[in-house]
Amino acid sequence: MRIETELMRGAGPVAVLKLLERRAMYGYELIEALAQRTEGVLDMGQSTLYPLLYNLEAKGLIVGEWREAESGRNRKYYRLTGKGRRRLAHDTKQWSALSTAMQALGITANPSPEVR
Amino acid sequence: MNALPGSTDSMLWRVLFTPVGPRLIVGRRLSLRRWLPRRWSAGELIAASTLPAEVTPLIVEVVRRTRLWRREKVDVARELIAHFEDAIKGEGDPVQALSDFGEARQAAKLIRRAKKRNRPLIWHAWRRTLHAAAAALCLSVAFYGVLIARYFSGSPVIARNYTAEVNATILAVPEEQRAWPLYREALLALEVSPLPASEVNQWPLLPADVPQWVEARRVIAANQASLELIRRGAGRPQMGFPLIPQVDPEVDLHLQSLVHFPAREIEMRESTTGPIYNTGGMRWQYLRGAGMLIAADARLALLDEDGGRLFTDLLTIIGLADQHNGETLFIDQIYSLHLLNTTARLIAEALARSPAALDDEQLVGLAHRLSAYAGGGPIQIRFDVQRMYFADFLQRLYTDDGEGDGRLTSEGIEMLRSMGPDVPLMGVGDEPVRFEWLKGPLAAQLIGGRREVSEEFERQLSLMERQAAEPRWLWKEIPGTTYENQVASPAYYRRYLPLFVMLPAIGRSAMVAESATQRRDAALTAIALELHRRRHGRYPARLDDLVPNFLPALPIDRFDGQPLRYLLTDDGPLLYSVGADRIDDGGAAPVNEEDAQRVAPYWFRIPADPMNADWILWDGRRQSATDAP
Repeated sequence: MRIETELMRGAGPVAVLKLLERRAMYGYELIEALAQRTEGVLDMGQSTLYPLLYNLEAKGLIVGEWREAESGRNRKYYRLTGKGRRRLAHDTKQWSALSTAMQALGITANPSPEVR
Repeated sequence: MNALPGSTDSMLWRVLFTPVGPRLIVGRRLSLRRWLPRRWSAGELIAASTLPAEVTPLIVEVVRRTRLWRREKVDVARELIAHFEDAIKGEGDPVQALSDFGEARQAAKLIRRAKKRNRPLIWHAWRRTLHAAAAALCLSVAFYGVLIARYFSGSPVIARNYTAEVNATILAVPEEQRAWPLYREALLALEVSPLPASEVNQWPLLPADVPQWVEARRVIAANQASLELIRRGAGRPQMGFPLIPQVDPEVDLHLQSLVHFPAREIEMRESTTGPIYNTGGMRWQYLRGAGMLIAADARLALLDEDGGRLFTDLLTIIGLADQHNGETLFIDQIYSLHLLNTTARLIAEALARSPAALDDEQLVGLAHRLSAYAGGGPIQIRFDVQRMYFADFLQRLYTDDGEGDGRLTSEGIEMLRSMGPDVPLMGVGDEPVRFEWLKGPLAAQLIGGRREVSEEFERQLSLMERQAAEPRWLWKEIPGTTYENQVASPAYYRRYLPLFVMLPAIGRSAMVAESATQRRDAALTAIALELHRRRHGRYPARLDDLVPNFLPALPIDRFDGQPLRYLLTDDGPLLYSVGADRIDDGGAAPVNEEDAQRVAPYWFRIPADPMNADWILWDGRRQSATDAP
């Protein structure tokens, strides 16, 4: 199921921040992780991920740095900044409240699957 | 191949990939760039990658379409190369990787937008400044466009024909009661021109023994028919000179045929819709000639001790003064006062030089006519006629919104320029203005709107009226001084330019009225003194002795509000005012022409600093009766 653009615009950034919470990741890795962990629901277009990352970077929520991977290839790894962590905590609360409200209305039947 | 630089956040990276960075730091002449790592372009990076040939065009297109800075393009290219290397490795199919990536144009657009957000604060500030400047420029151009459209689209509307209204009143008077037809005949009957006026003006005041009297006598003798017509005209109740046409071609041609009259092009203006303010010049020139001729004849009669002619001529001058005072134009009022002044001075001189020239009945007759001038009492300037002038003027400058407001039109600007003042941006005169379409709308904005200018005019005129209504000894300033001080300021002058055209130093005309009042009162007092002398065989010891048998009340010195000063000496009486300095110098006469001007300023504002002289109004002492007053 594809999420509509407007919803994706709200969900995409927090999803990326959540993925970067535990470790730094590069672009393609993020795309793959999003698709797998959300079973394709948050499978955003590849061409839209990079602008999203640049936007988060512009806001100071993440920072990118070129690193040589074990494979020997250079990749740009993104990691959360302190500001990004605070933003993630804030957004998580917001989404949690939203989810609860949706449940109360019977729009969502089960708790949202925890993103790990 | 040089190794690619590492972190895009490093200073080295920023220097290398910022468009002007290396030039700023290294400079062209030093050519130290070769010592630095090579600057990679995005294209070179893509070409140097190991990606399949079908993938690279997409990356090239995305990078190209971003239209970012070189450093940013390199960063995007590197990331996309890394992305596709991972994607092809993960999916095994370059075509699938391309398909999954999406459309290049959309990607480039989003990347460009996001990358620009990452640019330095100073760049954002500069960009916003540029945007603001561009917006301001666009707004200004649009606003000016509107101004230009408004400037050229508006036209004055002549809603009221003041000239026709005035003429209708004038022409409603039966011809036999109007003096102008007779004055016109007098002008046409002139055998020798009494002009130029500058010379004739002096005739009534010339000393008795100067050579100019030879010419004066010749002109007067040759124009007896005209003088008789003028005397008859002065007996009529009204002037009755229509405002338009302003030039009488027949009169003009005749005057031009005479020696002294300056030749000019005759304007055949038969229109009845012309501006009222444009109608005064010629009529004044015609009528001034008549007034000066009769005044000169009166002076000649005085010198010849021809009492009958003197009396008739003096009544004629007073009649002319009355007729002018009843006219609409402001200039007529001023000329009327001038005629009244002339009469008063001639009477004063007659009583000093030839006391017997006028008999009792004639003196009483003259006193009654003088006392009745302008309804009697202190003479007041009627500033209200300027309101009609100004209303007519404004309707020819501005549009009319029907509620008393309007905007200055291109025709209005042209009219202002032709009338003399320096119009902001547009200059003076009727020479074409370069870029008039550009300057005109701005000039029209610099000058106040119809209502604003009209209200300021009313404010200033009302102030002058209030000031002029006070007797001179209560003036804190000469009426109109406030306006004259304000108009000296460039900002005020520019804003209220139409006032400058229509409200010149008219406040000072109150000084002329005060002077005329003083001279008239002095002449009446001199008549009363002479009548007292004839009845009692001597002049009174004090002016109080004249009241009430010879005067209804004591004459007032207009400078200090006290009774006029009177001295009775062994040689005769002296009547004087303390003058502008308000100090009684015992009737000392000014010793030179400059002091004579300063002692009783007539029009020009002259500082009233103390001077050892008074304003001699009538000198009845025997030795004084040799020259004109």
